[in-house]
Amino acid sequence: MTVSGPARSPDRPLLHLDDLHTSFAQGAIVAVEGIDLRVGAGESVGLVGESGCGKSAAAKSILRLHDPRNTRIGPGRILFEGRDLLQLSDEGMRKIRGREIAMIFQDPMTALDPVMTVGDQIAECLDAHERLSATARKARILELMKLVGIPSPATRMRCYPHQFSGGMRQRIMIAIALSCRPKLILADEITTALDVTLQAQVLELIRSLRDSMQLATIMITHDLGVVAGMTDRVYVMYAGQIVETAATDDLFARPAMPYTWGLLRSAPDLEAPVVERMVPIEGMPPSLADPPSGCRFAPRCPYGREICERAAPPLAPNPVSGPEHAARCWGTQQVKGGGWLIGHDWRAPNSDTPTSGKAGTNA
Amino acid sequence: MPDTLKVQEKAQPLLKVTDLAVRFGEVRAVDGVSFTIAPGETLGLVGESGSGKSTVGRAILQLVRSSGGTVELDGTDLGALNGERLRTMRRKMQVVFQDPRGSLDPRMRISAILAEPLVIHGLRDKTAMADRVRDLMRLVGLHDDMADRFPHQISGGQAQRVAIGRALALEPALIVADEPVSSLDVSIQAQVMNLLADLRASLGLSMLFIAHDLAVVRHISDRIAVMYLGQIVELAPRDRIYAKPLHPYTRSLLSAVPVPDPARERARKRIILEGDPPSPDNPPPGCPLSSRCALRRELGDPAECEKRRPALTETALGHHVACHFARE
Repeated sequence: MTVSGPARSPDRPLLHLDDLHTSFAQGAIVAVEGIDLRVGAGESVGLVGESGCGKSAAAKSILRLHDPRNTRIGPGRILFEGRDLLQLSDEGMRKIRGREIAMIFQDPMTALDPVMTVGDQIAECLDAHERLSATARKARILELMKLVGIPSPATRMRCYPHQFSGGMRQRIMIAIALSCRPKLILADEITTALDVTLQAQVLELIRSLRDSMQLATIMITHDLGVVAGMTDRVYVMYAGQIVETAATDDLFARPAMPYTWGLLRSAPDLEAPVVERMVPIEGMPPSLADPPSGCRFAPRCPYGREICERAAPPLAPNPVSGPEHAARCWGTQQVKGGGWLIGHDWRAPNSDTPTSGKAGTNA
Repeated sequence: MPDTLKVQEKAQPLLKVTDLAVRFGEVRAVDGVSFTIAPGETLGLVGESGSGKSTVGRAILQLVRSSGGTVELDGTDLGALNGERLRTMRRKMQVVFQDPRGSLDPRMRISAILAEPLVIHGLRDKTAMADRVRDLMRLVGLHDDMADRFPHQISGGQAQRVAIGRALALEPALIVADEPVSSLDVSIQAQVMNLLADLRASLGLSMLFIAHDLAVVRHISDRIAVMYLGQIVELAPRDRIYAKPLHPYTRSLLSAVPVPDPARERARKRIILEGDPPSPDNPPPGCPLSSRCALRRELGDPAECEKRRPALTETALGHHVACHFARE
């Protein structure tokens, strides 16, 4: 098929998660349930959702970073340049990690080794993948430290992580991720632990590196502000599933389903008028060990109808914005008993009374 | 009490912090901070890591010893009290911390956690205690069947509700809320912020709301103070500080918060602060921001900034700023 596939995502994407499942505890907890996600070469994709929605579990599955003793990755495929990473041996995966796909973690203090100089940590990945002379190795470390904006790299490369500030440590993490010139970077909540002014610096750095190095990125985040400024396309996850996907501009201009609306309403916006009360999403996400049988968002959804609890909706194109914009919501789908949210203005007050009534207990 | 006297009392601030200083060895964590909080008022205290904002909160609560200045609650200088008299005053001010799980004893049931302050302050009657605990749970929106659970059996948002309930147990006049929603998901943050706003309105609470950015405190604060390197650099009524921020640091803080809208986000001009904040054990002479200040660079690096520390001065009604060059 050549017609479908998200707008700016090419026919043969760099990465394609094809119906990927990841489960823990002998399959008792399905953290990632059949997600389909594509990233084109050089493209920046956002994977957004709240704690426990499965966004980090999905990212870690790509690099096989979960504890294999209690994790099952599959069924599904992780196609990287057309090759299924799930078919690779552990040795084969080692050639992918760092060199083809690298990951930047949220907390640079726990991700860095406290008893190893940052120069050696930056070179660790190089040492694993390339044979460099001592001079070439040092030159590459200095080049990387300069690239990410660490002042006086020649002296700083001999320092340990605790001698750096939080922002500088995150720059070191980025230098490590870039060291083997990967094609794809998975950035997992990389600015969450940073102060806002440092967050702005780090995002600016990622933006410029991405452009100059033709990097593809997956920005994994709960922050819609970061998504708005950093991504071309976005996937919204809820309770292990992708519930909405669209080009970033389209998602913000015409969000299709109530969970995305809820996220947008509760995202802080300094330029919006002050309100006396914020609009939260009532209740809390379901347990992944025992998810609702219908729509997973139904117990919290103020727009729900009878069909929502009876059957689980598929992720289907949103009739308003075209095939590249899809939502997992009966309200947006032209089926019997569905379709009542097509073209609904999410900013309008909700006249619908929820069928399921109470949104459950407060979180 | 005659009515005139009551009115006079109302005009008194509930909390008055004057020239507060806290030192940890050579580190001047808090360096000459002054502000007041009126009864029923919420002051947002904003600053990044290491700005001293949490230390201000702790010094008010007498959890760290100040090295200078005074903290007066209801006209009483807390620094002059100790033992039983300090304990009595402590009933009037309670704290909610950032990490709700870390601040709840994992081996105590929710009901016992809520009852603990009542026990410490002398409530003995079992029935009265059970009633009060149930009232507190309802007040913070917790279902009755949570009473017998342990902290690990409830969500982060629910744990923060427990911590808020515990803070309210003794009917305090002042709550120091130290980043109470920072560790929660955005949708849950809104729930807890609404709870705090409701409680403030229904109980007439005063609040010192400490946060690391200007987004969270916006909806709940009457006035906002911005701290940098142990000092307040700007203090103004809420609507003024967002509409007309004067201090270059406040401006960069505001511009750094991303907005959830791609078009506006692309069009936004960021004032990016260069480098890291200087270490508080070796602050720059003069203005604390001088080494990173965009306004100073724009003005061609005037020497004034490094020579003299700017005082917090009122530029318009209730709008205070500490900068030699900030103008409207």
